[in-house]
Amino acid sequence: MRIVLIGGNDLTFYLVKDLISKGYHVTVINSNHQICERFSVESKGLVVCGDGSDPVILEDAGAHQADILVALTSSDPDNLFICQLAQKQFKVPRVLALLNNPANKETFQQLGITSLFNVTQILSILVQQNLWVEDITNLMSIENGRVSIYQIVLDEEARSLGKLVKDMNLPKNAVLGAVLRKGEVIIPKGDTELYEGDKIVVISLPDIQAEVYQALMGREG
Amino acid sequence: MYIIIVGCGRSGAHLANILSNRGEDVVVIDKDAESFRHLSAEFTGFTLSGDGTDMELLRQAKMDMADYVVVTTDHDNVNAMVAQMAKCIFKVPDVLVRVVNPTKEKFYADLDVDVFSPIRVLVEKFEENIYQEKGGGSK
Repeated sequence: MRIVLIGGNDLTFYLVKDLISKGYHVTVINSNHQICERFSVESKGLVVCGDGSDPVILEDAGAHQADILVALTSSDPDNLFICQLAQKQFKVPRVLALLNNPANKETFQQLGITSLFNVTQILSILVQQNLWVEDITNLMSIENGRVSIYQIVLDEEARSLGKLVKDMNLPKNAVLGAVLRKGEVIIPKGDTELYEGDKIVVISLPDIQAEVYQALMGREG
Repeated sequence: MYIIIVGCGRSGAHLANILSNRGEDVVVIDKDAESFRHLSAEFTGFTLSGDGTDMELLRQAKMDMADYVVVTTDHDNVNAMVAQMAKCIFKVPDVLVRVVNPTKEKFYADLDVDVFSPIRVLVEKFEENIYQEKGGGSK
Protein backbone atom coordinates (compact mmCIF):
# COMPACT_ATOMS: atom_id res chain seq x y z
CA MET A 1 0.00 0.00 0.00
CA ARG A 2 1.54 3.29 -1.13
CA ILE A 3 0.53 6.53 0.57
CA VAL A 4 1.46 10.07 -0.48
CA LEU A 5 1.06 12.80 2.14
CA ILE A 6 1.28 16.47 1.26
CA GLY A 7 1.86 19.40 3.59
CA GLY A 8 1.41 19.74 7.31
CA ASN A 9 4.01 19.86 10.03
CA ASP A 10 4.29 18.06 13.37
CA LEU A 11 1.01 16.27 12.95
CA THR A 12 2.05 14.90 9.56
CA PHE A 13 5.39 13.89 11.03
CA TYR A 14 3.83 11.69 13.70
CA LEU A 15 1.28 10.40 11.21
CA VAL A 16 4.08 9.33 8.88
CA LYS A 17 5.95 7.57 11.69
CA ASP A 18 2.81 5.75 12.68
CA LEU A 19 1.95 4.68 9.13
CA ILE A 20 5.50 3.49 8.44
CA SER A 21 5.54 1.46 11.65
CA LYS A 22 2.39 -0.23 10.40
CA GLY A 23 4.16 -1.29 7.23
CA TYR A 24 2.89 1.25 4.71
CA HIS A 25 5.10 2.76 2.04
CA VAL A 26 4.90 6.49 2.69
CA THR A 27 6.08 9.45 0.61
CA VAL A 28 5.92 12.97 2.01
CA ILE A 29 5.83 16.18 -0.01
CA ASN A 30 6.51 19.41 1.82
CA SER A 31 7.54 22.86 0.64
CA ASN A 32 9.34 23.72 3.88
CA HIS A 33 13.04 22.75 3.78
CA GLN A 34 13.40 22.49 7.55
CA ILE A 35 10.45 20.15 7.84
CA CYS A 36 11.77 18.06 4.93
CA GLU A 37 15.14 17.74 6.61
CA ARG A 38 13.58 16.60 9.86
CA PHE A 39 11.46 14.09 7.98
CA SER A 40 14.39 12.59 6.14
CA VAL A 41 16.58 12.35 9.23
CA GLU A 42 14.01 11.01 11.65
CA SER A 43 11.69 8.87 9.58
CA LYS A 44 12.11 6.19 6.98
CA GLY A 45 9.67 7.76 4.56
CA LEU A 46 10.68 9.11 1.17
CA VAL A 47 10.75 12.90 1.22
CA VAL A 48 10.23 15.23 -1.74
CA CYS A 49 10.81 18.91 -1.09
CA GLY A 50 8.62 21.18 -3.17
CA ASP A 51 5.15 22.44 -4.02
CA GLY A 52 2.81 19.44 -3.89
CA SER A 53 0.37 21.14 -6.26
CA ASP A 54 2.99 21.17 -9.03
CA PRO A 55 2.50 18.17 -11.35
CA VAL A 56 6.28 17.82 -11.71
CA ILE A 57 6.69 17.35 -7.96
CA LEU A 58 3.83 14.87 -7.76
CA GLU A 59 5.47 12.93 -10.56
CA ASP A 60 8.76 12.87 -8.60
CA ALA A 61 6.93 11.59 -5.57
CA GLY A 62 5.57 8.68 -7.59
CA ALA A 63 1.95 9.77 -7.48
CA HIS A 64 1.21 7.44 -10.40
CA GLN A 65 1.80 4.43 -8.15
CA ALA A 66 -0.02 5.80 -5.11
CA ASP A 67 -2.99 3.92 -3.71
CA ILE A 68 -4.03 6.89 -1.63
CA LEU A 69 -3.11 10.57 -1.52
CA VAL A 70 -3.78 12.84 1.44
CA ALA A 71 -3.61 16.66 1.16
CA LEU A 72 -2.96 18.22 4.56
CA THR A 73 -1.87 21.78 3.80
CA SER A 74 -3.33 24.75 5.65
CA SER A 75 -4.83 26.14 2.44
CA ASP A 76 -8.14 24.79 1.16
CA PRO A 77 -7.58 25.85 -2.48
CA ASP A 78 -4.23 23.98 -2.38
CA ASN A 79 -5.81 20.84 -0.94
CA LEU A 80 -8.61 20.93 -3.50
CA PHE A 81 -6.21 21.44 -6.39
CA ILE A 82 -3.83 18.69 -5.23
CA CYS A 83 -6.64 16.16 -4.86
CA GLN A 84 -8.19 17.02 -8.21
CA LEU A 85 -4.82 16.84 -9.92
CA ALA A 86 -4.12 13.46 -8.32
CA GLN A 87 -7.46 12.16 -9.56
CA LYS A 88 -7.29 13.57 -13.06
CA GLN A 89 -3.64 13.39 -14.06
CA PHE A 90 -2.29 10.65 -11.81
CA LYS A 91 -5.35 8.42 -11.53
CA VAL A 92 -4.89 7.97 -7.79
CA PRO A 93 -7.80 5.75 -6.71
CA ARG A 94 -8.41 7.43 -3.34
CA VAL A 95 -7.83 11.04 -2.36
CA LEU A 96 -8.47 12.70 0.99
CA ALA A 97 -8.41 16.42 1.77
CA LEU A 98 -8.05 18.35 4.97
CA LEU A 99 -10.80 20.94 5.17
CA ASN A 100 -9.55 24.03 7.02
CA ASN A 101 -12.67 26.14 6.64
CA PRO A 102 -15.86 24.11 7.18
CA ALA A 103 -17.74 26.56 4.92
CA ASN A 104 -15.80 25.10 1.95
CA LYS A 105 -17.31 21.64 2.41
CA GLU A 106 -20.08 22.22 -0.14
CA THR A 107 -17.61 23.54 -2.73
CA PHE A 108 -15.28 20.54 -2.35
CA GLN A 109 -18.16 18.10 -2.65
CA GLN A 110 -19.64 19.81 -5.69
CA LEU A 111 -16.22 19.75 -7.34
CA GLY A 112 -15.84 16.01 -6.78
CA ILE A 113 -13.69 15.77 -3.63
CA THR A 114 -15.93 14.00 -1.16
CA SER A 115 -13.55 12.42 1.35
CA LEU A 116 -12.84 15.26 3.73
CA PHE A 117 -11.29 15.67 7.16
CA ASN A 118 -13.46 18.35 8.62
CA VAL A 119 -11.11 19.20 11.49
CA THR A 120 -13.25 21.94 12.98
CA GLN A 121 -16.22 19.63 13.11
CA ILE A 122 -14.21 16.70 14.51
CA LEU A 123 -12.69 18.87 17.25
CA SER A 124 -16.05 20.39 18.03
CA ILE A 125 -17.58 16.94 18.42
CA LEU A 126 -14.69 15.80 20.62
CA VAL A 127 -14.97 18.86 22.84
CA GLN A 128 -18.71 18.40 23.19
CA GLN A 129 -18.31 14.70 23.91
CA ASN A 130 -15.76 15.44 26.61
CA LEU A 131 -18.28 17.55 28.42
CA TRP A 132 -20.00 14.29 29.20
CA VAL A 133 -19.84 12.31 32.42
CA GLU A 134 -17.47 9.38 32.79
CA ASP A 135 -19.98 6.59 32.41
CA ILE A 136 -20.18 7.33 28.68
CA THR A 137 -17.27 6.32 26.50
CA ASN A 138 -17.31 7.55 22.95
CA LEU A 139 -16.18 4.70 20.79
CA MET A 140 -16.26 6.38 17.43
CA SER A 141 -18.14 8.75 15.19
CA ILE A 142 -18.59 8.00 11.54
CA GLU A 143 -19.58 10.01 8.45
CA ASN A 144 -18.00 13.17 9.86
CA GLY A 145 -19.87 12.91 13.11
CA ARG A 146 -23.31 12.17 11.72
CA VAL A 147 -23.49 8.85 13.55
CA SER A 148 -22.11 8.25 17.05
CA ILE A 149 -21.22 4.95 18.63
CA TYR A 150 -20.74 5.06 22.38
CA GLN A 151 -20.87 2.92 25.46
CA ILE A 152 -22.86 3.55 28.62
CA VAL A 153 -22.19 1.57 31.81
CA LEU A 154 -25.25 0.92 33.96
CA ASP A 155 -24.59 1.71 37.63
CA GLU A 156 -26.72 0.67 40.62
CA GLU A 157 -29.00 3.72 40.23
CA ALA A 158 -29.71 3.30 36.52
CA ARG A 159 -33.40 3.47 35.73
CA SER A 160 -33.26 0.67 33.19
CA LEU A 161 -32.11 -2.04 35.64
CA GLY A 162 -34.41 -5.03 35.51
CA LYS A 163 -36.28 -3.60 32.54
CA LEU A 164 -36.76 -5.15 29.11
CA VAL A 165 -35.28 -3.26 26.16
CA LYS A 166 -38.72 -2.86 24.56
CA ASP A 167 -40.07 -1.11 27.69
CA MET A 168 -37.33 1.46 27.90
CA ASN A 169 -38.77 4.21 25.73
CA LEU A 170 -35.60 4.68 23.76
CA PRO A 171 -35.67 7.67 21.42
CA LYS A 172 -36.45 6.86 17.80
CA ASN A 173 -33.03 7.47 16.25
CA ALA A 174 -31.10 5.15 18.57
CA VAL A 175 -30.46 1.42 18.73
CA LEU A 176 -28.71 -0.71 21.30
CA GLY A 177 -26.02 -2.53 19.33
CA ALA A 178 -24.62 -4.84 22.01
CA VAL A 179 -24.64 -5.55 25.71
CA LEU A 180 -21.31 -6.55 27.27
CA ARG A 181 -21.96 -8.56 30.40
CA LYS A 182 -19.24 -10.39 32.37
CA GLY A 183 -17.07 -10.83 29.31
CA GLU A 184 -19.96 -12.03 27.18
CA VAL A 185 -21.45 -10.21 24.22
CA ILE A 186 -25.22 -10.20 23.93
CA ILE A 187 -26.99 -8.72 20.92
CA PRO A 188 -30.04 -7.23 22.61
CA LYS A 189 -33.57 -7.85 21.42
CA GLY A 190 -36.85 -6.50 22.77
CA ASP A 191 -36.99 -9.10 25.55
CA THR A 192 -33.39 -8.67 26.75
CA GLU A 193 -33.26 -7.61 30.40
CA LEU A 194 -30.61 -5.18 31.61
CA TYR A 195 -28.53 -5.56 34.79
CA GLU A 196 -26.15 -3.49 36.87
CA GLY A 197 -22.65 -3.42 35.39
CA ASP A 198 -23.88 -4.00 31.85
CA LYS A 199 -21.96 -2.06 29.25
CA ILE A 200 -24.39 -0.96 26.57
CA VAL A 201 -23.06 -0.08 23.12
CA VAL A 202 -25.41 2.49 21.58
CA ILE A 203 -25.58 3.67 17.98
CA SER A 204 -27.46 6.94 17.52
CA LEU A 205 -27.53 10.38 15.98
CA PRO A 206 -25.15 12.59 17.96
CA ASP A 207 -27.79 15.12 18.99
CA ILE A 208 -29.89 12.61 20.91
CA GLN A 209 -27.11 11.26 23.14
CA ALA A 210 -28.64 13.15 26.07
CA GLU A 211 -32.05 11.53 25.50
CA VAL A 212 -30.51 8.07 25.29
CA TYR A 213 -28.62 8.67 28.51
CA GLN A 214 -31.83 9.84 30.17
CA ALA A 215 -33.71 6.73 28.98
CA LEU A 216 -31.03 4.33 30.24
CA MET A 217 -29.94 6.06 33.43
CA GLY A 218 -33.03 8.04 34.43
CA ARG A 219 -31.05 11.22 35.01
CA GLU A 220 -29.34 13.98 33.10
CA GLY A 221 -25.91 13.24 31.62
CA MET B 1 -22.65 42.79 -19.91
CA TYR B 2 -22.12 41.81 -16.31
CA ILE B 3 -18.48 40.91 -15.67
CA ILE B 4 -16.86 39.78 -12.40
CA ILE B 5 -13.10 40.05 -12.02
CA VAL B 6 -11.46 38.11 -9.20
CA GLY B 7 -8.02 39.46 -8.30
CA CYS B 8 -7.28 43.17 -8.46
CA GLY B 9 -3.56 43.10 -9.21
CA ARG B 10 -2.12 44.94 -12.18
CA SER B 11 -3.85 42.80 -14.81
CA GLY B 12 -7.21 42.57 -13.04
CA ALA B 13 -7.36 46.28 -12.32
CA HIS B 14 -6.22 47.25 -15.80
CA LEU B 15 -8.92 45.10 -17.38
CA ALA B 16 -11.53 46.43 -14.95
CA ASN B 17 -10.68 50.00 -15.92
CA ILE B 18 -10.96 49.24 -19.63
CA LEU B 19 -14.25 47.36 -19.32
CA SER B 20 -15.74 50.01 -17.09
CA ASN B 21 -14.73 52.67 -19.61
CA ARG B 22 -16.52 50.70 -22.30
CA GLY B 23 -19.71 50.84 -20.27
CA GLU B 24 -19.85 47.28 -18.88
CA ASP B 25 -21.11 46.44 -15.39
CA VAL B 26 -18.00 45.37 -13.51
CA VAL B 27 -17.51 43.95 -10.02
CA VAL B 28 -13.94 43.47 -8.78
CA ILE B 29 -13.18 41.09 -5.92
CA ASP B 30 -9.92 41.05 -3.97
CA LYS B 31 -8.86 39.72 -0.58
CA ASP B 32 -6.97 42.93 0.11
CA ALA B 33 -9.04 46.15 -0.03
CA GLU B 34 -5.75 48.08 -0.48
CA SER B 35 -5.40 46.66 -3.98
CA PHE B 36 -8.44 48.60 -5.20
CA ARG B 37 -6.10 51.60 -5.39
CA HIS B 38 -5.04 50.18 -8.76
CA LEU B 39 -8.47 51.12 -10.14
CA SER B 40 -8.70 54.42 -11.99
CA ALA B 41 -10.69 57.41 -10.80
CA GLU B 42 -13.11 56.81 -13.70
CA PHE B 43 -13.90 53.25 -12.65
CA THR B 44 -17.67 53.12 -12.09
CA GLY B 45 -18.07 49.47 -11.07
CA PHE B 46 -18.26 47.93 -7.62
CA THR B 47 -15.55 46.49 -5.41
CA LEU B 48 -15.91 43.65 -2.90
CA SER B 49 -13.14 42.81 -0.48
CA GLY B 50 -13.00 39.21 0.63
CA ASP B 51 -11.86 35.70 -0.22
CA GLY B 52 -12.76 34.86 -3.82
CA THR B 53 -13.20 31.18 -2.92
CA ASP B 54 -15.89 32.01 -0.36
CA MET B 55 -19.22 30.74 -1.67
CA GLU B 56 -21.14 33.35 0.35
CA LEU B 57 -19.14 36.21 -1.15
CA LEU B 58 -19.67 34.89 -4.68
CA ARG B 59 -23.40 34.63 -4.03
CA GLN B 60 -23.33 38.18 -2.76
CA ALA B 61 -21.62 39.21 -6.00
CA LYS B 62 -24.48 37.46 -7.88
CA MET B 63 -22.05 35.28 -9.79
CA ASP B 64 -24.93 33.26 -11.23
CA MET B 65 -25.94 36.39 -13.19
CA ALA B 66 -22.48 37.03 -14.66
CA ASP B 67 -21.85 36.85 -18.41
CA TYR B 68 -18.11 36.62 -17.84
CA VAL B 69 -15.92 35.78 -14.89
CA VAL B 70 -12.22 36.61 -15.17
CA VAL B 71 -10.00 34.94 -12.56
CA THR B 72 -6.62 36.56 -12.29
CA THR B 73 -5.09 36.30 -8.80
CA ASP B 74 -1.39 35.42 -8.37
CA HIS B 75 -2.21 31.98 -6.97
CA ASP B 76 -2.86 29.15 -9.39
CA ASN B 77 -4.70 26.96 -6.91
CA VAL B 78 -6.98 29.78 -5.82
CA ASN B 79 -7.64 30.56 -9.49
CA ALA B 80 -8.49 26.93 -10.18
CA MET B 81 -10.95 26.82 -7.30
CA VAL B 82 -12.69 30.08 -8.23
CA ALA B 83 -12.82 29.19 -11.95
CA GLN B 84 -14.42 25.83 -11.19
CA MET B 85 -16.90 27.41 -8.80
CA ALA B 86 -17.86 29.91 -11.53
CA LYS B 87 -18.20 27.21 -14.20
CA CYS B 88 -19.54 24.20 -12.32
CA ILE B 89 -21.54 25.74 -9.47
CA PHE B 90 -22.68 29.15 -10.74
CA LYS B 91 -22.92 28.02 -14.40
CA VAL B 92 -21.27 31.14 -15.80
CA PRO B 93 -21.22 30.90 -19.62
CA ASP B 94 -17.69 32.25 -20.08
CA VAL B 95 -14.89 31.81 -17.57
CA LEU B 96 -11.41 33.16 -18.26
CA VAL B 97 -8.56 32.13 -16.01
CA ARG B 98 -4.93 33.11 -15.66
CA VAL B 99 -2.33 30.38 -15.15
CA VAL B 100 0.91 31.39 -13.47
CA ASN B 101 2.78 28.08 -13.65
CA PRO B 102 2.51 26.70 -17.21
CA THR B 103 2.74 23.09 -15.96
CA LYS B 104 -0.69 23.60 -14.43
CA GLU B 105 -2.34 24.49 -17.74
CA LYS B 106 -3.19 20.86 -18.40
CA PHE B 107 -5.37 20.80 -15.28
CA TYR B 108 -8.06 22.67 -17.21
CA ALA B 109 -8.11 20.29 -20.18
CA ASP B 110 -11.46 18.73 -19.25
CA LEU B 111 -13.05 21.98 -18.08
CA ASP B 112 -14.91 24.38 -20.31
CA VAL B 113 -12.89 27.44 -19.28
CA ASP B 114 -10.48 29.60 -21.29
CA VAL B 115 -6.94 29.43 -19.99
CA PHE B 116 -4.36 32.18 -20.36
CA SER B 117 -0.74 31.61 -19.47
CA PRO B 118 1.24 34.89 -19.55
CA ILE B 119 4.57 33.03 -19.36
CA ARG B 120 3.76 30.78 -22.28
CA VAL B 121 2.51 33.71 -24.37
CA LEU B 122 5.67 35.66 -23.57
CA VAL B 123 7.96 32.77 -24.41
CA GLU B 124 6.12 32.14 -27.67
CA LYS B 125 6.51 35.79 -28.60
CA PHE B 126 10.23 35.67 -27.82
CA GLU B 127 10.65 32.54 -29.90
CA GLU B 128 8.67 34.01 -32.79
CA ASN B 129 10.73 37.15 -32.68
CA ILE B 130 14.09 35.33 -32.65
CA TYR B 131 13.26 33.21 -35.68
CA GLN B 132 11.83 36.18 -37.58
CA GLU B 133 15.08 38.10 -37.02
CA LYS B 134 16.96 35.23 -38.57
CA GLY B 135 15.05 35.70 -41.77
CA GLY B 136 11.81 33.82 -41.11
CA GLY B 137 12.67 31.02 -43.53
CA SER B 138 14.37 28.94 -40.83
CA LYS B 139 10.99 27.92 -39.35
